[in-house]
Amino acid sequence: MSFARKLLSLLGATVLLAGCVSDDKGSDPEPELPVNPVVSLQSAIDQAVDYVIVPSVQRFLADTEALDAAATTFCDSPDEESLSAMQDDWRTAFVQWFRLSLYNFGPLNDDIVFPQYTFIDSLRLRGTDYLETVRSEIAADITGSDSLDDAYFGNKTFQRVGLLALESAVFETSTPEHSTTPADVIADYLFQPRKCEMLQGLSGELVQRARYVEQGWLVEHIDSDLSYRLLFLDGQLDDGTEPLSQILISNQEFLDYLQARRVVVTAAQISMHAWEAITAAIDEVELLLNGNENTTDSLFDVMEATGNQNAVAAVEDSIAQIRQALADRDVDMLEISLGYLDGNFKREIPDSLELDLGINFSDGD
Amino acid sequence: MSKTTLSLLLQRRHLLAGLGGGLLMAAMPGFARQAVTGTERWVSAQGDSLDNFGLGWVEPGKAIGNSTFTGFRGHAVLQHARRASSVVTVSRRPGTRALEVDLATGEIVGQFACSPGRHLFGHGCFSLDGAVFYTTEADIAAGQGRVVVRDADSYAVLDDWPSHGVGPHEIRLLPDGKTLVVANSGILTRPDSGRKPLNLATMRSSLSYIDAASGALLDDYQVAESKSSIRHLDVAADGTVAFAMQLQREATGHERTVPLAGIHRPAEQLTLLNAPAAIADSLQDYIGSVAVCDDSRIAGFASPRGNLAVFWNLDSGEMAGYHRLRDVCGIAVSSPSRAFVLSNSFGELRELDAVSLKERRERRIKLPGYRWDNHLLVTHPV
Repeated sequence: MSFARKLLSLLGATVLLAGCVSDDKGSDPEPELPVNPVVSLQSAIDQAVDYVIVPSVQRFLADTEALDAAATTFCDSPDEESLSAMQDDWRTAFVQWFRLSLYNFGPLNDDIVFPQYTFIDSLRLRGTDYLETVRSEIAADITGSDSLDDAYFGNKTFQRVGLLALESAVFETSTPEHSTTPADVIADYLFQPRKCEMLQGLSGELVQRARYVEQGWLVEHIDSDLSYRLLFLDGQLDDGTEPLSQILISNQEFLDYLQARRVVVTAAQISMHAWEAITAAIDEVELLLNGNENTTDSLFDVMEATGNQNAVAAVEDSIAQIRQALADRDVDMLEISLGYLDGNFKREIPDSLELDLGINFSDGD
Repeated sequence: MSKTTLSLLLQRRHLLAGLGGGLLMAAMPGFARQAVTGTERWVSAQGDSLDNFGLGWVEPGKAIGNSTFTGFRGHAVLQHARRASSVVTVSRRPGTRALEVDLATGEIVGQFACSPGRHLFGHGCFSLDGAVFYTTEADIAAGQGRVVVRDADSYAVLDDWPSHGVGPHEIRLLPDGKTLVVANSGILTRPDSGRKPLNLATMRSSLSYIDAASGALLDDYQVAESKSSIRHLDVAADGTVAFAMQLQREATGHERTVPLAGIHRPAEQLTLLNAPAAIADSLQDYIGSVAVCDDSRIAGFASPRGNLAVFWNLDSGEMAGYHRLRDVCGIAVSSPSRAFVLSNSFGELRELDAVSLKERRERRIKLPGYRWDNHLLVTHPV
């Protein structure tokens, strides 16, 4: 443990946040004490990283590897069962991607010109739908003569790879009709052997991206000789952002993106799986704030222990409204309620955690 | 020092001001009276609320901040051309006050306010001989920009000219000493409607060259994108102007990436500076400050929305590099150190080598409780 890390832990222990204890001995029922009456913000951040964020990174790698394996199985034996299994694995990876998208910093976003996340999800950069680009690219790869090896896919631009390209490859034919009927999709592979090479090239490339992110979090971040996890928990981020600020800003930016780009009606339009992905993202938000079964100190715990129950209630209310909109498949209400939660990440949550997100000189001077 | 502690100290200083008949004494612990000669200071408006808005400064390499309460949110800070230890801090739109602070003592040694019906835009500049101080102002009723000329000692108004545009922002003097360059933002706002732009459909931003003796318009340039608002600028020793823009995206009706940085070489047309799409997009339509380093011929542009400072070579027009810093906006040049200095709203200051653009990490300063505002000034030692 570095000195800075020890110091942080010591400070965290020194400024333990005591739970609310009332001296009122009247007839009113005893105020309910927090489950954990002594919570540390630093511990909550540590646990959010180790119990929520890092596992999310690891799950995405595992899900992309599963998709890659399913692509191999399908290509070895193309039938409706293997196709269905591969499509399920794509859905799983896509959903997990939306969970991971809440943490779009560190290894996912460590190069300003070629950030990793764009090679996984091209829509995220500026909301541009590159479906026609990937369709053209797939058709060209199938009919072309280039060697479809790792280097070929590693050199493709972000608009031509990632989950969108795989969605087209997995769910529809490469013909102009773009049929999604399983028999047509299988026939497309049977009659065009290079399509399997292309599929496996794309899935392998996605695994490489996911592995880069996982290695960055756990082994070495760029050329620092340290994992991003350690740098993050030590507060040694290059751009000077405090770790908790980074988490909250990243969540807020993703919620803003979901609204601003109307992601529910622009993403995953072949598989029709955007609603499920956004549902998973909201599950992840709750997990981040509440923790899991291993969590002893969560961000909500800290907020409640410092008397900010109203802020917690406001966040829970926003999440409930999002869940209702998701259940109703109500696009307009979804955008509105995502806006509420976006606002919670800008105000109630940082205010409750006494976090300064900065002036952000964005008002025209 | 915590934000609360700083606030209390500043409030105390405010109290001292009341007792002292308008002049505020610097009473902050750690404040040192020192000879000005040979001392470089990094100075900026700072604070985040009415009870702690002030002027803050630090000496490079020393993590001891000094601050004077001003009572208004400042914007740019200018080194006084005749009194080297003094700086002038100009209030942000739609503020009306400016103060001269002697950094050697922390005392406010001069001040002025706009005429009724006017407000400032946070910027000003001195004449070559230092006798005159120019500010950009708004004639609120007319909705027109003005350049107001003041005596640099008494701050009495000497003259009052049109800025030849709407919403004039930064103003600088060219090296010839005879020509002012003004960034007319083109955007009309009024104090009674807050900071809301009122003329997006018809806005016309321009880089206007004005005769510094008469106020006559000498030349006027616009960029092709009509919704790009030229706000900030700096001038190289050869007269090349580097300018920074903010795009009014909601009025453009498109999602195309628009260059936000440009240069104007004497007797040429404007040149926009290009960057890879990912970097241009990262700026999020907003650059808040620009500084030119004459030694390296590099201009630095800071985007707080993008958490990014981007640098271009003035001669080749090629991007030279970038540096990520959360909420970065202040950018200035330290000539003795051959460095760009960056500041942000978290009280951080960073120094980058002006040629390699590599950060000198050992020179990092972070002053807890300080909130550096849009612009940073590096004072020249004398």
